Amino acid sequence: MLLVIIAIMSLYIVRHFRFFSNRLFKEQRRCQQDLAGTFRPSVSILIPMHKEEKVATSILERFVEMDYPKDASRYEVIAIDDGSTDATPSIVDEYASKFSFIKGVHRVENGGNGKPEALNVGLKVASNEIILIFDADYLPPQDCIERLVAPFVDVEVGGVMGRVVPVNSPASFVSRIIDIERAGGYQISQQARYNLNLIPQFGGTVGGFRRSVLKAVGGFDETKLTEDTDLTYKLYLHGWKIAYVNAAECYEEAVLSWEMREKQLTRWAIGHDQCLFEYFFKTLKSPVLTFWQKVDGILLLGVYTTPLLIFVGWLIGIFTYLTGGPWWSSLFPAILFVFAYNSIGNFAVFAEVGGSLFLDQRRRSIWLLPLMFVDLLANVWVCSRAFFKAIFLRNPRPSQVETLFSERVHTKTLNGFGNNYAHQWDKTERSGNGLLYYTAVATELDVTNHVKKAEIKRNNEKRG
Amino acid sequence: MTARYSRSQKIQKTHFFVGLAISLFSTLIVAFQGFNFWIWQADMVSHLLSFAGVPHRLFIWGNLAARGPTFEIPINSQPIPFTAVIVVLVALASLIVILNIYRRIPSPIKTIAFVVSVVTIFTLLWQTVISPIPSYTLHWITVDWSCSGVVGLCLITLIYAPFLFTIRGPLWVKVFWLFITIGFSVVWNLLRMSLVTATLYYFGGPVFLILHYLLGAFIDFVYIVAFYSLALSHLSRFEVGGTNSNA
Repeated sequence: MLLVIIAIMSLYIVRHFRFFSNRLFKEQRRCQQDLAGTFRPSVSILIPMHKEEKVATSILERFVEMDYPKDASRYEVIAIDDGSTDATPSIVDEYASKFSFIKGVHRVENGGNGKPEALNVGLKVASNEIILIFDADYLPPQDCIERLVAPFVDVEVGGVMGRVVPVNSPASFVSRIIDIERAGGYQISQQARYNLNLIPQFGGTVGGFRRSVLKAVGGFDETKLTEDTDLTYKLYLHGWKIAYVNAAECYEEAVLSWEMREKQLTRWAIGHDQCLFEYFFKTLKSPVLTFWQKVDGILLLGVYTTPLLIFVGWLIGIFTYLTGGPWWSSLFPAILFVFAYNSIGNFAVFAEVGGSLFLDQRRRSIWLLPLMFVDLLANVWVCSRAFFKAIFLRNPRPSQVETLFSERVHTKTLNGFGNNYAHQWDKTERSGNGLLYYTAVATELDVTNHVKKAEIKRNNEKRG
Repeated sequence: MTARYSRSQKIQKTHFFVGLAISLFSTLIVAFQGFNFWIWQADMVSHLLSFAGVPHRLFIWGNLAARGPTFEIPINSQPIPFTAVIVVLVALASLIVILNIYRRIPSPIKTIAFVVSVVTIFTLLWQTVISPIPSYTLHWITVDWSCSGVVGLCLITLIYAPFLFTIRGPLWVKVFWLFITIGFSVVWNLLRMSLVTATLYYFGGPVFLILHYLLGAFIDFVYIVAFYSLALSHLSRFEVGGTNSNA
């Protein structure tokens, strides 16, 4: 059993090594970013909202200030108020009345059934070819849309994903750890997967799809807790590609406490495990995917089960330690292997995050690298529990494809063993402090730009 | 790719081979001088144990079937009362249930509490039911492959070759941090061995087993990460512009 775990984990170690070396030492794909600002297809932006009064104004304001032609045929922002009982509906209405490109959708009677359902409703209202999705607590910079739509110039690209950057990192210990973890996940892992033509993942926000592709694959699966991972696999199994745009940075409000982190991680892990059960064999058998895409696809599906494997490995290790291992375990090669697995294996993830912080030139953040161990401990607990919850989660499989573009009443529930995952919003609480940090970042960027411009001007003057 | 970038890649490749050579060299030293290193370590641990007031005898050339320098330590041989074992087991089982129910406990603490509880439960059950504390009053601890940390020295160089020496920056910084990490590793292993041995004397077998496991396999690599992060941070000082961070 221990050897099986070590074998599986060794695959992940090799994967981390490969991504690290590719991202740091090989040529990077820039994803048609030279066309950003030139290629401007018609875009519908969906913002699902459920009790978002703390952040609704800031995100709508960002889309008002966005660098994109604001004519209604080219640019529309659809704020989907999904059964909010706070001030969200009035904020949405206020912006919709002021700006013609902002549309407010209110779901009063059937609302509050969760993000995938809200997105499907938004899809029905959307009229443009490219559909982009943003969560309400995100703060996209002005060039974000231009950068995100550029890859769609390639007809093989069905979806796109931008980079998520926590903006409130200094707010708490948890947000700092999430910040550096995110850096590794996007700066190295996603970019390397895109470079290597593997499977970059759509993360549910700061990304989007062609409307036709979404329609073809049946829209957002309302039975999944991570409809984003589900869509990623649907797209790849249908022969489409997802492009990752590292330059399309978007700022998010990271959670501030372990309690919220546990809630968030549990949702992701259960959803991911649901996809593992559904897409494991489909990925293996796919005639469309290449060999390496299949390998990466399987490893990506299992990414939230690895903490459980680590946990089981620790427990078996304890038992072996007490009972004494087999005769060969005291031989030098065996000891060397176990030590190598323990140190290099665990080290691979840290190196990936460290590499990303190095690329971002965040010298002081690199010092926080050892604290990732705390995050590993959290993942072990949360993901192990989530795996068993996912196993016992009954999946009702509604006939979604047929009903996607028609009105209906939602009465389905996802009942879990010992836990009821009601078909409802399971989002993390917003603190609303993201805007403060964003303003600081934006000011700093502005100052840096001014300094750079002045420097360029001076150099040009010197050259005469 | 620009010519400048290609040149930088060549330099880093050379640095990688330098790192690999250091790794090979250190492995050879360990292979040929490992026993002498154990003797030196055992001698140092002996000094630390004396400082900590732990009575012991050191057999430099090993003892019985031992494969390295061996310490002989008198330990408290009193078996743990059965009632105490039951109380501790019930308490730990309750703790595991509480960890599952109570959401406000930070999840990293839940994991640590769970692992420590399981290790303690296994150890207590093992020692009470299967292998009770022996009646003899002396215990043997041998400085060998598995506890001296000598393998770690080779692995540090092996990790740094691909993950540090390949990163853009001056070679001296990389070599400097490699040796700092190795130096710390030597000190850490001396302290770890002394601590667990003293624990055996002062707190008995179960606590020794738990601490030995947790300090060894569980968190042994964390200090490597800490020094690696300092090295990376130092290297990033020399990175002026020129990154391909926003691909």
